[in-house]
Amino acid sequence: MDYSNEPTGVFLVIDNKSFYATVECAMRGLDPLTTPLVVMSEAANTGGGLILASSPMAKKLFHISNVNRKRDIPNDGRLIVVPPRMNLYIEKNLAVNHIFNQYCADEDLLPYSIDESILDITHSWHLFGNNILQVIRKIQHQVKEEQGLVTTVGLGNNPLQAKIALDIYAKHNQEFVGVITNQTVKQKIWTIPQITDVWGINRRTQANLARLGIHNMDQLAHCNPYELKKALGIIGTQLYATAWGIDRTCLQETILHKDKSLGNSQVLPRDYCEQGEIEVVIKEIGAQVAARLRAHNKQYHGVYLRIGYSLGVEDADGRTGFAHALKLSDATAETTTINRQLIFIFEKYWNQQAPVRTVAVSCTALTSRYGEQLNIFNVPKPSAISLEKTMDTIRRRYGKIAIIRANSLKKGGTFIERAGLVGGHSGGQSLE
Amino acid sequence: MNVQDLLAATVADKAWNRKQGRLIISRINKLFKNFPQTEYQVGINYYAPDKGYSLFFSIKKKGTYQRSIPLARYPNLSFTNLLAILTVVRQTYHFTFTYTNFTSEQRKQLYRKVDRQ
Repeated sequence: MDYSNEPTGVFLVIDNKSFYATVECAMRGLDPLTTPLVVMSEAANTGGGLILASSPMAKKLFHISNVNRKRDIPNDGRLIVVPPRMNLYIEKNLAVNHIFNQYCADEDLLPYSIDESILDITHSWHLFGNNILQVIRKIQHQVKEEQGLVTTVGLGNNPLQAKIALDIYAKHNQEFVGVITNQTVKQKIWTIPQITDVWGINRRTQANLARLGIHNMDQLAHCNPYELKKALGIIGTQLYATAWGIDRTCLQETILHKDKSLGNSQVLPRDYCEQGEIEVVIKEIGAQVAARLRAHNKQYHGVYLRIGYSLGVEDADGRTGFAHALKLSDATAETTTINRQLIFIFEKYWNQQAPVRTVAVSCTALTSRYGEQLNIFNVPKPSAISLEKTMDTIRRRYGKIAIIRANSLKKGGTFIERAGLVGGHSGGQSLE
Repeated sequence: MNVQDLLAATVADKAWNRKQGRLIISRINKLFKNFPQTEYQVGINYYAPDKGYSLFFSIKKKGTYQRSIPLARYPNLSFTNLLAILTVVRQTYHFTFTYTNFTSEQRKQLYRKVDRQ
């Protein structure tokens, strides 16, 4: 492979090691690397308790990993169990990204997730040290000094190499730094023993590749890319590029989404069997999505509802749920309209028996909200939107439950309970 | 700032400290069940990035893992105010208070004004 035409930038993917657990340790004045601590969410829909993060020592001593359940926690006095504080983690993520921003321009920094960021320091690293590793250590040291957090860093000529270096090498390195360059792709990527350890390859992709006789990265790099594309589509080409460590992503480019959608979903705390109860939740989520649309100054042309049945339940057709969409004649951001459509879909497709456990609502085909399209069939109702805007303002100023729909007080309503949650978990002060 | 303003600020400070102390007590009330063979502690940590303090309630039941629940977080809080808040809490609860990231001089003051109450 000729890498002379490939980008040779200096990219870092920086990960906060066991982020939530490390933040909690730092807040308690404990050493994040030597304290066995787990962050456990005990929200109603977690089945008793769901582990969101565990410190390196908890992983080492008790083999606890994320998404373990409460039942997996050993009864050992050394282990500290703490509730999550999602707002605090968001605050810390912003603080850490603020530090990263001191080492590169705004457009060269891409927060990838709550604990990972991609930095393009191609043009700026020489301002902070004589060599790149020195700059990396400086960043790690500054994050540790100012926020008490431990970071692992992947370094590469492009974001893909940096990400694989982080996932495969940095986490097991004493200095928490992993490096892959165009020159070391063969030694570092083709030799990865478990193909699912590579970014972008999950078990399903592994099975698809296995059907084509590809079981490791070496075989993937030496397969016929045209046949791979024929078998797996565009993903096949991406996987082939991954095996050769090729990624032409430019962090500065803004990605334009052609058809954006907005949605919310919920795992219910128990099986919902009564139609009235399920409809309350659908309407709550519908109202939530509509409020988000108005906040983004958008309106929608289509709605989408997905219902998942309880674990192991199948309907007469052997399905574990259903998902359907509807298109509207006029775009709107009104809660009542979206809810009417959602209830229509639900009543049409639900078999009146299957217990429901997950509900997801999306508004699709979004357009900018410029006003209301008048037509001869419907009477214009500008007051409904202005009423909802007033409700949005009250919620923004005084909190989500300052004004609620009476529906939420009915049996099955989850809006009030979920008001304090962030990403489905406790947002902060667990006692408030 | 003149003397009257200073006095007003001090009075407001004292009222705020008392309010915070009572708030912490109300949070402990919800958590403290006085189970046998269970150790309850209040942990106080000076958290440098906040230039303030974080308080936690720790429950260690024999034969199981310990729980540490956040009680309060006070960014940009002076040591004097912390002393006042802890003094209010101490009047109700006599759990062991554990201090981390405090200087020895501060520890002495905490011992004299809070722990010995």
